[in-house]
Amino acid sequence: MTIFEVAVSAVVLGAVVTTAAQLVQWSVTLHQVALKRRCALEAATSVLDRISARPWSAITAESVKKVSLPAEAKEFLSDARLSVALSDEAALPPGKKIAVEIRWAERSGARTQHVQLTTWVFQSGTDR
Amino acid sequence: MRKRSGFTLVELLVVISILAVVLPMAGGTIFFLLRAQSQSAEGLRDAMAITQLSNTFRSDVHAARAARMTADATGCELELENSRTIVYRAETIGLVSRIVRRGAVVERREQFRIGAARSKFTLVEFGREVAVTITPKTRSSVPVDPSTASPAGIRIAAIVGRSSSVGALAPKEMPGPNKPSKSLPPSKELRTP
Repeated sequence: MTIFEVAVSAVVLGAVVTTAAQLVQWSVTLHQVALKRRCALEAATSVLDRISARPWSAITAESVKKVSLPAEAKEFLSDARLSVALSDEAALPPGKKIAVEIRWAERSGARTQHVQLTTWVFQSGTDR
Repeated sequence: MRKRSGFTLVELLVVISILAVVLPMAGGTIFFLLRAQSQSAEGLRDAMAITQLSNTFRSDVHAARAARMTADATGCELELENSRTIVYRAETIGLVSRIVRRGAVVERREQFRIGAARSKFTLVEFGREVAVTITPKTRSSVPVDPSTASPAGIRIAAIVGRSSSVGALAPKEMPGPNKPSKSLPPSKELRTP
């Protein structure tokens, strides 16, 4: 084994170590992103659950705007924003489409992440 | 005089010195990768457990007639039809148990292992909504204080009795967290599918 061969192998090993460290860093970042996405999904599900459990007449565009994100989600997701959209569905029986979207920033300057869940509620016989 | 082939002492010393640097690096890299792989597998397992807990918890809460905190405030008790009760309890860090009882008889017992995460059960709006907040250990940017009312984390919340009568549960109709079952609405209004 010459010095040249050892030097070449050291360079190759250095490249491998650097790549491995970057991969691990990437994996940790992805894990954090997945956790936050999970948190946002659960928050959106909870918001939808809360809205759709209301009486039919109480599900209005004004009332859904008053819904806010749970404090736990606000703390976990940096700069989290909730938007709820309600639209009427011309169907029989009449329905309402509720779309919940949560946006948050992974870190300052990074691309904004978001999740969106949509559900439909329909007027039952007891609501008329 | 014939020249003998081989390494000089200087060459050997240089090679040994370089290997002394390279070999620990290689060993460290392998150890680092193995640990990362192990943590990744744990994370996946915990995520699956949280998913399972989320689905089961929501389903149980939706089917419940009433909810209350347990006496030691480490969990919640859901009251269902036919004398059935389901108790969720945060046993230790990373462990949530679910016990289904019919009367005094334990029908089923499950445990959800959610890694090194803390879990805390809360009742909202006088027991109309039940939530469990899971605070993962991996977060370092926000300090975790278990005594706070709303620890940051994954919050799984569900409305009590939603499966029974969607859209028909006004807050005044739901019993408080510690009220006896006699105060529940008549069962015919809270149908369990």
